Amino acid sequence: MTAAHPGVPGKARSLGRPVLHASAVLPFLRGRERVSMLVGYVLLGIVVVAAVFAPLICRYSPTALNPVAALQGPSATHFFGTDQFGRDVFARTVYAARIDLIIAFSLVGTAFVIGTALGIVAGWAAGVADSVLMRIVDVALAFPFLVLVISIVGLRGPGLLSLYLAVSIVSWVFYARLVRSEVRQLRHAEYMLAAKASDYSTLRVLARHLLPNVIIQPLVYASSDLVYALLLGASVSYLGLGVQPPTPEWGQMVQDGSTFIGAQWWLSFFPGAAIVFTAVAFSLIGDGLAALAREGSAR
Amino acid sequence: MRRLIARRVAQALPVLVGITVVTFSMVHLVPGNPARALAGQRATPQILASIRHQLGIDKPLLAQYWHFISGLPRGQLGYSFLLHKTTDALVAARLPTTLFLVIYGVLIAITLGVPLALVSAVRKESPLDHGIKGTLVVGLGLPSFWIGLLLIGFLALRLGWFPAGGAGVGFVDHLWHLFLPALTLALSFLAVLVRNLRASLIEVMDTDFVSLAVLKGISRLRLYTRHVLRNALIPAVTIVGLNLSYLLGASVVVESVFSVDGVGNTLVNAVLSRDYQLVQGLALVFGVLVLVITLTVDIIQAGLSPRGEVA
Repeated sequence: MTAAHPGVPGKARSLGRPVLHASAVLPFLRGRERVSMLVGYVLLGIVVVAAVFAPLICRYSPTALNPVAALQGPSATHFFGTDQFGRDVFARTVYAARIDLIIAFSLVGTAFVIGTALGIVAGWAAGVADSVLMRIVDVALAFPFLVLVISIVGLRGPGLLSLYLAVSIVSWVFYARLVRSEVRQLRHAEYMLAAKASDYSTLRVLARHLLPNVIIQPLVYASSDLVYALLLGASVSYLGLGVQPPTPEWGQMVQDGSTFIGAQWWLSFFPGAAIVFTAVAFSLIGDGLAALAREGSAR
Repeated sequence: MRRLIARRVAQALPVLVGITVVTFSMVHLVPGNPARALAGQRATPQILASIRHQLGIDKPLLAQYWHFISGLPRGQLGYSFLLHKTTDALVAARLPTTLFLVIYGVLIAITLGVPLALVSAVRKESPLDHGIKGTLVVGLGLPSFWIGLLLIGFLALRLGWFPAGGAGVGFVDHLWHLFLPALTLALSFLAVLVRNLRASLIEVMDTDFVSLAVLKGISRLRLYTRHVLRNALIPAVTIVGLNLSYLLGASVVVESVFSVDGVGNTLVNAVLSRDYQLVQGLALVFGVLVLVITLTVDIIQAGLSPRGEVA
């Protein structure tokens, strides 16, 4: 990956779309880091394929009731067993990948876009806008994140939309803080002065010259934030405040199985294992991207 | 030192005001009418009016805010209509349990994490180090509610080694009842702790005083216990300090899984039963708690560091 090179706008611009850059997909990392990042892509690939092709993979419907086959252990017919309504836990776990992936990506995507935009504005405008924004960040960070999210979801009423709104109200601050400090470091770089002196519109300067150079850090952060968003969405749903039944979702499935944890362990075990599997995929990719960014800035 | 404390407190004051504004505004996030949400669709106008009066939302906004904050210095945090207790009484009774759980969890995490980080850093890039790092990647993705539930299912219900829930009475009983919850909390924090600690240990081992100690020919054991470990405990404390907010958040889920009667579980139940004033009061408590702890850690650190006065 090309290094961010202050003073050479041409090189800087090539960082514009790092994720689509060939090196991010097949990273030029050496040895172990390359292997673990590839493993991450493979694991995530498995989850995505399972989510997309769920109807082809599953023999049973995730919501079909079958009281005759209730609470059966894992077997050749029901790989992950069945729940108290005779629903196939494997089918539910596979279908749940859809909603959990959507939650993780939409939460991180929203926070990333809003936070990066506001961070650029604050860092660039400085002055009052900056102070106001940073005070908001301070206050938001003063609460335990989960407490704030649970409270907001609770007051708005449980559900997917509430979860999305509650997280989005808070989570952008992490990105805004990160981007703001990057912008403040770069705003006096020579190529930024050159861009400003060229009489380009502010929007163009920010979007074409500044953005490509500050986007790496929030992108790396976002890739590890996916783990957190996944766990957060599942936790809130576990508490009964997120995804509502009968839509299968991993956290909520763990909750559903909790009354049977002593004897019918498979009800909670498999959806939880699916969370860990997906989280590991995100972590490995995130660690790889972080290593890539370190190498990029070291070169 | 006194000037430093004054400055830090002055910096914290606007945040404190912000916390009260955010928690105050929370009730206004309730879609539609909070009184109707509490009383149901068939409530008469008289009942609605009396609930609005009890919630204090029949006055102008600024008067409401004043009403909200004027009671705070005296510890008045509101009233739970469902538990029929004041929020401050509930907090006074249940916050100690939460703090006990968090401290217990941190101690377990440090007990498990410091040796792991030390081995990992000393045997840097060895198969053992890579094994530990790989395990941590999995550890980072462990949902605390899932781990807690598996511990209940296996250690409490199957083997009967530990109680499955509750907090117990008295100190020893607390230790016994809260072991699994604390272990769950520790496991959800362990990966973050070991990762950061490993990095700072490697930094310590690259410093001159360690090289000097090695040149002077001291034993390995002595090197690691006397020089490296000692200098690693400071970053360990810092890492814990930085993550206290996270730990308090995680304790909410853990308390809920184990039905521990702390403020976290109270918050979840308040949210589920739409006890708006209680939610508001508890959110405020959590915010102020984090603020006070961060401030204290900040001042202690600045006081300990030789350059504290400048910082």
